[in-house]
Amino acid sequence: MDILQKVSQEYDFELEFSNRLSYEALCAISPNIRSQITDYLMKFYYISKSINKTKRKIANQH
Amino acid sequence: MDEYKTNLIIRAKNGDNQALEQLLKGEETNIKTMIFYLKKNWEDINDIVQNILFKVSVKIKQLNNPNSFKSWLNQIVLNTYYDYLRKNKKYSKDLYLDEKNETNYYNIADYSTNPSQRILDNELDFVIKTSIDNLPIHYKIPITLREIQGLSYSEISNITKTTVGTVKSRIARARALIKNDIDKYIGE
Repeated sequence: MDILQKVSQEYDFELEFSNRLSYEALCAISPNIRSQITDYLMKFYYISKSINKTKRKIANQH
Repeated sequence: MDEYKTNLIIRAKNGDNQALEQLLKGEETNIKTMIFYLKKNWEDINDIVQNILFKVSVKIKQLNNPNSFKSWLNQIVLNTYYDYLRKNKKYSKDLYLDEKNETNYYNIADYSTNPSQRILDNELDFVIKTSIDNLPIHYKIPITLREIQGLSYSEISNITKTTVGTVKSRIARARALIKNDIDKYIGE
């Protein structure tokens, strides 16, 4: 099962980007799952950061 | 939506050209970024964006609720994008892909001779863009609406005519596929 689905089921919260996942929610997760989630969220952070950077560059083209 | 923007929409809807111009200018970057991620190359992007902005300026008087502007606008963005795909059959296969290609992402697109190269100036940005390029259309649209336009799951479900649950699972799946490509790049 996908780690996100697993955690969503076990902890009953919706996983979003790292900045939307509260510190308290992250602490409530067991350490081994937490490390996997942190990894997952870091990738989401990359996606978000990359898209925002692209958006800024496109804006500067105008 | 903030009060200033709502006011701008109402004024544009009532025929205030200055407000319309300001409104369109404010949306142009988001629209162009959206089309940039929906398309595999830079070709025709400016034409598509101009077409969208023209449609918005003509149809804004028909907008019933200024608060639904963002959903309404993105419906126009997607309809225009679909029209473009239909008219350019070489891209239309994107509409029917169900599974992500397991191809080497460095070989997918050639960005060397177009403005994309200036935008995607580092490898990770290139990997992420190419990964989004390779997503099936029913994953690509929800994730771009979420990431670029900042729409809620509910707004995306209205635009894509699917349930909120479907939108959530498609976005989660899209992120997982992009994550796989990032993992390959980072060498996890």
